[in-house]
Amino acid sequence: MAFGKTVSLLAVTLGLLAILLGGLAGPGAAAPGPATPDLEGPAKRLSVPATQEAAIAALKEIPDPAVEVLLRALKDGALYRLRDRAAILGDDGTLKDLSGQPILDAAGQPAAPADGQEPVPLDERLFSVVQRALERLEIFGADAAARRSAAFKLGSSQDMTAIAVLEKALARETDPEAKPVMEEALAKLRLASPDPAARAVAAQALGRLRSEAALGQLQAALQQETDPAAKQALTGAIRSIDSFLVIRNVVGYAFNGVSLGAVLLIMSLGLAVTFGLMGIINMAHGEMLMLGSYTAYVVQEIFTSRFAAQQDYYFLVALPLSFLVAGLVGLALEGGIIRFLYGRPLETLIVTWGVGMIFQQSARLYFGDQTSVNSPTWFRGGLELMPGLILPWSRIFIVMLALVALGGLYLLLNRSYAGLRVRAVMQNRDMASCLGVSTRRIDSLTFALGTALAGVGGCALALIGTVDPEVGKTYIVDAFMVVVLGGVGKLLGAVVASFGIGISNKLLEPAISGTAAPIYAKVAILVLVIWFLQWRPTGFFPAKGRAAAEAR
Amino acid sequence: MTLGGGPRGDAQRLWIAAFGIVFVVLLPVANALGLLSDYYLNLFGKYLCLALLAVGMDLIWGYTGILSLGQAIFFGAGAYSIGMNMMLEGSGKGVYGEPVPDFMIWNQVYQLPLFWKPYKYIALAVASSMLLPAAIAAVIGFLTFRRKLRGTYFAILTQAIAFAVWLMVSRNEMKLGGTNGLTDFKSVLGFSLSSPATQRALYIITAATLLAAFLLSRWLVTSKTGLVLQAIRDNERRLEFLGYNVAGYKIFVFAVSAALAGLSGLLYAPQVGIITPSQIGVLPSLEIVIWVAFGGRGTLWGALLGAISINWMRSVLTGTYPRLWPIILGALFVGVIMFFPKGLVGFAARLRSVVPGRRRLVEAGGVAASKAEERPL
Amino acid sequence: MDTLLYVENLHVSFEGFLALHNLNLILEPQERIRLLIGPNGAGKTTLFDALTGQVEPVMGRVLFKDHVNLLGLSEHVIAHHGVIRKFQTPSVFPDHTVYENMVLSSGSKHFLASFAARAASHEQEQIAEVLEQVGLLDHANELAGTLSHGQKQWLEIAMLLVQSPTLLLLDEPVAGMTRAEKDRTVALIDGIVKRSACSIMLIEHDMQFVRQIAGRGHKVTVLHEGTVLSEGSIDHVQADERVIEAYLGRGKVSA
Repeated sequence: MAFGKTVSLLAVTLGLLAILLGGLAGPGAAAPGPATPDLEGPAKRLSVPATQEAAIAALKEIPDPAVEVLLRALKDGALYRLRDRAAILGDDGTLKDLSGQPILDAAGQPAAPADGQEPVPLDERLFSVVQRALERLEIFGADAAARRSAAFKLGSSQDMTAIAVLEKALARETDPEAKPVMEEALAKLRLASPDPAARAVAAQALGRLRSEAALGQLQAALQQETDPAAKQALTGAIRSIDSFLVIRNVVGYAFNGVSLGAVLLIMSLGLAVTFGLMGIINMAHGEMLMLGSYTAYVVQEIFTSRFAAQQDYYFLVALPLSFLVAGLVGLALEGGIIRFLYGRPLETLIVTWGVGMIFQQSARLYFGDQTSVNSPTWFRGGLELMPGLILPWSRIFIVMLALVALGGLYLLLNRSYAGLRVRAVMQNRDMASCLGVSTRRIDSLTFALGTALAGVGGCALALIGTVDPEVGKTYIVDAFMVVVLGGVGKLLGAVVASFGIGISNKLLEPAISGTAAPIYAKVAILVLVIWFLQWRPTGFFPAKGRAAAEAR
Repeated sequence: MTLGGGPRGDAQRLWIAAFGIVFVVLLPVANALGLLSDYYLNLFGKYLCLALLAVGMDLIWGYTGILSLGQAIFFGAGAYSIGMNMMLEGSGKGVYGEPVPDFMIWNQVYQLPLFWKPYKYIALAVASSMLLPAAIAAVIGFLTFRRKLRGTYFAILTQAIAFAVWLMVSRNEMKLGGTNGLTDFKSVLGFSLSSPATQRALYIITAATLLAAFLLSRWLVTSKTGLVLQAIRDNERRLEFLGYNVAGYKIFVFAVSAALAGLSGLLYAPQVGIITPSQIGVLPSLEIVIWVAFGGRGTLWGALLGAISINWMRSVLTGTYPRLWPIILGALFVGVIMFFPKGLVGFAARLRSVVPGRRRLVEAGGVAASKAEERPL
Repeated sequence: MDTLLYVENLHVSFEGFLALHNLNLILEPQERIRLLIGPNGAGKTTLFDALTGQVEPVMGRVLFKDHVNLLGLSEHVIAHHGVIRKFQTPSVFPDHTVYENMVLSSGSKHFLASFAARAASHEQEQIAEVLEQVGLLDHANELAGTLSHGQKQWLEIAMLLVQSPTLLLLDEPVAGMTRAEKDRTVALIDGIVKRSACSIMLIEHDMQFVRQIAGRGHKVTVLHEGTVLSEGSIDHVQADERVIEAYLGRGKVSA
């Protein structure tokens, strides 16, 4: 008995000595170095139940990758003892030593556990300890991301012993992203320090770091804090974190609003041309959008089956193609049907409604009800504007696309010769015709431009939603509302209206609590639109143009 | 130079009488005799309800020239009114011993919400089905017509309102059944809905109501008021200078059309057995416009024909061509309007080669003349 | 009643452009016709606009029958008071018959009154009488849109007459008419003066027409650049140097 105790004591002392030596081994211990401390001793102590706990405690202080291997093996039940050495069971069924070399048996072959041989048992109570130890060890790992996550976990662990480890890790940390995580973790742990000055310092650090994760902890600490200086530091920290969060949320909502506005704008640009400029009520406009979405889908299918390697590039083909497809369909629609109905918006409404029904059902029959398009991998993920705020690339792209389309349309209409002719025909058809402008051609091309824009919109929308036959009907109401609100015939109006509606909508949502917030926000926006139209029935920017004149 | 009478008027009366006899008398009798199945009678009942809805639309749009894209809301108000009454009649008891509809119990609402309580009384449900839509229409009209909100903008406005109402009613929190709506009606006024006699009675009431509404509308449009309404459509400013309070007339006709829509809903729900939010909102409202335009607006007959024919065709087509019917219907819209811009009534007039160049004050049926041509919506 | 129409210091501005300024005009109760002439852009139609509530003056007073302030009232209320206006371009209801146009113009405009299916018999008589006066009785069942330009003008006058106006504002009633039609219109106006009690204020450019009417002893007011230039009998006004200058531009006409 006494002998056993002495041995244990000796073991612990030796273990501590080992740690000391290991700690004094200096930086660079993140990677295995030539002066690898001997782990056989601790490994042996692991296998003895009485000393297991202490051994683990000792091991976790040793910044050696082999420790991780050892402890992981222990946790996984792959640690064996063979001829008084630690042996780890590999995936191939053979045993390896701590440095990864295969252990050879008497015959010189890679050894395997003997029949009936049990791995070193891990006391259940110690499971989480080993787990934490492993996590802690990751903090010295080679991968910066792993180090960050290890540091974060340690910070949330409320394990005061981790402070030392963190300090060590921070000292040798070079990665600029990992450093603040470690500082945050340290500060969180130090928040529970018995020394009020230390607590104050920690609180300040957390405030400076804008640590969202620590907010709850800070608030709880504030409840129990007695020291005035520490209290002040805590409130200050909470305040600065809160204000950061508010700003971040607002930016987030604003971005969502801009993104929604961009979607609305893309949908409405085409309509602004056909309805705003030409006065044609095209109820099949939504189906033009649908065509664009399906074009994207078809192109993607082709690419996945034929050009699997360049899958992502499908998008580069789909975008211009959807412009073309929708434009051609628009051309056909105008030439075959709509041109016979100029000046009769009511009939155009019914006829295009019928056309829309045909397109919608055809799409349903051919493609089925639910298909979707995968964004190209370039669009995965997003831009991290502020910590914790990620703006998806796909949405950023849509905003860019909307602006490009807007800019292109504006330049076309206002700065190009073609645009001049379009505007002339729309304002005074007879006069333009007298001046030699082919009004037929202008009509066809302008209408086709409108539908083509819808097609591009549909292609872009496929990135963020599903591709289904209903997409047209879903968006047509909003699109008309944007055009009317903006002032029929004015591009600027459509822009202001789309972004106005988008941003107001998204800023309203958080103000309304509950799961139905998006719906109520939409209703509120509709009410605002209704009220606005009452007061200013011609929209933001009333303008000339056929539709405007007729509507008055 | 008098009003009323004349050969056109007589032909009209003949047609109305024929319509009355066929729909109000012959069909239900055939059903009672077993010659016409209950299913078909019920189907016709549904069509006639929708025809009533279309007549209201024709009044506000065909005659007065105001495009309202929210008629489906008023229809819904009527249907939900009677729906609530029927649900209360047929549901189990709640916490306080009062009837609570099943769907509420499933949503853990055990007490009847306040606004449901009055609908226990059939009289109130019926009154509400017509008065509520009329009141809403009057309010909307009051707020918009006096500011001289024009044409397309009024259309978009009503469309926005329809959209908002649809969104709200679809929510479970509104305690109107959410997207599932109200259904599973067992009885109305104590009469079981599954009994053929009740359905026949409902049909007769519907047909008779339609006839009455048609006659009333015809009286309205042939009176001086009708003349004023059409003048509003043709040249509103002039009318103002003549001293007419145009806004008042518009509010009036809008309220009437809303009441008719509500009435239509009232009769619809017991016969069809279900009312959901998908029947109120923008798309259904647009469909009503299509019916009237397809039939020929500004003629009252056009509304009837359009509503009945399109819905009948839809039933037939969905049955025979379940996958192709929207395509066929869509093609039909395109075809008819391209070749017969004045709708079915215009087509009929062409067939008869009778195009009265002059219109008398009496004119309700017959070709609606050149009105439709250069006018915007 | 001291004055039928009292216009004092009327100023009307369109986004900075002063269309009327310092406009003073008085119609005596017994004055049957007042002719309003002046070069284009003088403000004649604008004056009518101000009188019928179409535009809001920035300054000035308008009193009708001494006590009714016309400013600020809406169009149909002004019409109820008896100030009825005819536009420059005929605005009848082209898709309704002549008779229907008359029905719309006659009788009470009150909402409930129009539910009567038939016009009351005395209204029918009145319609017939007025149609006869303007010579359109035979065309009663024709669509107004199919009438000739001149006939449309007369129809419009008939529509106004049937409302028993107190003050009739005619804006270029003979514009676009043939000579014969203009002569007939002169007779028509004569008839109005004889058979009814209303007063007429008349804008016209056709000097021969103006002389024909003014020759019967009616006063002429000349407007120029938004204000009254000269007023009086036709001879007085025609001899007025300022009027000549305004019509012909600066510089006297030699001989």
